Amino acid sequence: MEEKVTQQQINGVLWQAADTFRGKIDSSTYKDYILTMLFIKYLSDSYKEHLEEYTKRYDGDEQRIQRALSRERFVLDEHSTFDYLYSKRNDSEIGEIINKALERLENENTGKLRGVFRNIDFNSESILGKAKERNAILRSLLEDFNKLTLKPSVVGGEDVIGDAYQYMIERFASDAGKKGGEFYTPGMASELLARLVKPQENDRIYDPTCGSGSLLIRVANQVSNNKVAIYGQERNGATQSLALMNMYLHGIDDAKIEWGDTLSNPLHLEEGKLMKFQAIVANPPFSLDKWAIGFAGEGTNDKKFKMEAGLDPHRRFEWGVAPSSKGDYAFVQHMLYSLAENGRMATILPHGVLFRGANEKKIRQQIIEMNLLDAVIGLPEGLFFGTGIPACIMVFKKNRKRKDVLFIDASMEGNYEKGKNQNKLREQDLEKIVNIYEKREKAEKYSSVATLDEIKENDYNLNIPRYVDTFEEEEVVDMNVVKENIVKIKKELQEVDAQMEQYLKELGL
Amino acid sequence: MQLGDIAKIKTGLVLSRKKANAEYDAKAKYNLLTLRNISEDGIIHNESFEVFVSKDELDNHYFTEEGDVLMRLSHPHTSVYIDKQHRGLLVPSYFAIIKADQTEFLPEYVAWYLNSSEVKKELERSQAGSRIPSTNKNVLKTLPVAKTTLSKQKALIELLMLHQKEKTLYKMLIEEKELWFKGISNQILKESF
Repeated sequence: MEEKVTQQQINGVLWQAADTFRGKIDSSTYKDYILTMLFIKYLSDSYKEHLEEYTKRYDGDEQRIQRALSRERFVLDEHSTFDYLYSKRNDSEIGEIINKALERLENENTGKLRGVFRNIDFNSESILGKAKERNAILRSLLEDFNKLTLKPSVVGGEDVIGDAYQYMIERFASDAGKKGGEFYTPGMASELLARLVKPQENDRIYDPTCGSGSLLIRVANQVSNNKVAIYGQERNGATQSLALMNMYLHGIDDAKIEWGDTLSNPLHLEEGKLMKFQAIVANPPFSLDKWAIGFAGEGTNDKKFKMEAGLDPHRRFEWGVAPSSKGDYAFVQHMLYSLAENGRMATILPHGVLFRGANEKKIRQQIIEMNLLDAVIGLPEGLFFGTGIPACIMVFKKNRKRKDVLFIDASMEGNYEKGKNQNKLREQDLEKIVNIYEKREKAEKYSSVATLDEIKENDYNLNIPRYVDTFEEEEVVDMNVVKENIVKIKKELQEVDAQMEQYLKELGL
Repeated sequence: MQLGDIAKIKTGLVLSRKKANAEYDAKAKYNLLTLRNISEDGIIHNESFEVFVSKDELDNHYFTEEGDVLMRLSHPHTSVYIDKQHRGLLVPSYFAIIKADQTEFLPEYVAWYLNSSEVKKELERSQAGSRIPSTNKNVLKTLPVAKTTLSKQKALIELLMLHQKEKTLYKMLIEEKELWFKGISNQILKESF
């Protein structure tokens, strides 16, 4: 009986594999190679285990074995397995061999893997270096992964391998500095969004800027047996591929993750109209510059282009067009227009969306007057990769009955754990936020409920300190005690002075 | 007269030799004195000594005893006297442990002397290392020491303690004066409304 492989062991081997590339290649690039190889290894080990199982069951009857294998989640041939690649690790054309294996994998699993490996080239001289260096890197990579076994019977199910994938994505996001924040939302922030939107069985879940898909997976995990339909869109092709692999590794085989610019080219359509979703979550790129460039026609001069609401065939920007250099409200509007009746939506945004003026204020006003805003939650600083911008969560709902907005200030000390490089929300911090959100309670220095009239009086400014007073109350000064203390200290100083005088005399000074 | 003539000088423990690498390796735990515990004016802070997890039981001579003088070997070479309250702390190798012959020199006097600008100047002259100035045991041994009577040493020590008390009292006085002024400000504001 093989011993169980622990999560730590898998994570350790994976991070060791990353050492092969570190220093040679930028981690935002080499992560794709490692995560793709992890995916291949997993498919291969699963396949190998099923092959052994069917060989035993069907007494080596090749025809029946092949028929059973063809019904598995993924189909592999002998030249697509990790073991085959490993056996070729010293070949001078190993890069091309890996590429061909990926191509065959795609072709034999077109329903699931079409286009998934389009962005990765194991034979790339511009990325991996010249043949000699490239071959050494790839050999080392294959040898590192060969130390792993990812057979389902050993790793004990999708959670472990999925978590390993997640672990690597998180490490790469952390390693990548500024760039990293674009494809991964930290686990606890994702968990918070997931709990706030409370997905139900059979809901359609949507993330218009889904990155590597971790947030969608968190939301799906809120529902027992993941019985929800998952939709996402991601404009970065390599990241979209990661999202699909991430889904498969978490046992989600029917997620629809599209590749494209959500704002200028939304791809989840029904009869030419935006599809509607019961739960929407997002961590859009903060204050995206030139967000509307996709709406510019052929030959339009960048400098001259000015976005207008009429340019959008889905009419999402009727309430106002977000400033050209800050795309936050464009994403909010897109999501609101994608929200089904009784839909719930929670999104992470920079604080500035709460109070910035001009068109953003116009949009905010419409959102409030349409009674779509349910809550504003201020988050602690330093939660996200590569950005120091303070962030908040805005929660929206269609068909709200109540006429108020809940404000939570979770940014104060004591409501998060300070970390060396990055701060963290703990389980108790999440529970506190969700609990207050459910009860819509006023809590001292933490939360408050504001009426729509109150918000109008504040000129539609949603800045949290206007509604939640976190000012530390000053202690009242007891003048008599202070005066007594001053007299006492002065007297003591005189005594000290006298004693010092005595010792100075003794020292002859 | 040199410091090596009136005192025994050793350096502390090289921690990496005794550090337990994993939890199962641990034989003992000790409170460790670190640079953070010592302020530039020669006072030891009691806030949370670091816990050192060791893979061996350590010899007594690596721990502070009452009457020791410790000097940090890197700039600014601050010295501290070890009183009863601070005995039994593990000393790392970036400190020198100085045990004075107390029939001739009081350890508090030695600590005061080592913190003087004369000694700092002497150490600067013979420093090793270019980026972070540091010194070593051999340099310490050759430091000249001013001879004086025990009674004068005692008087000086008392004077030093009174000086420190005086500084503390002035700090407290400033704080109370701030409160006093705030109280007055609040009263004025209250009467204005």
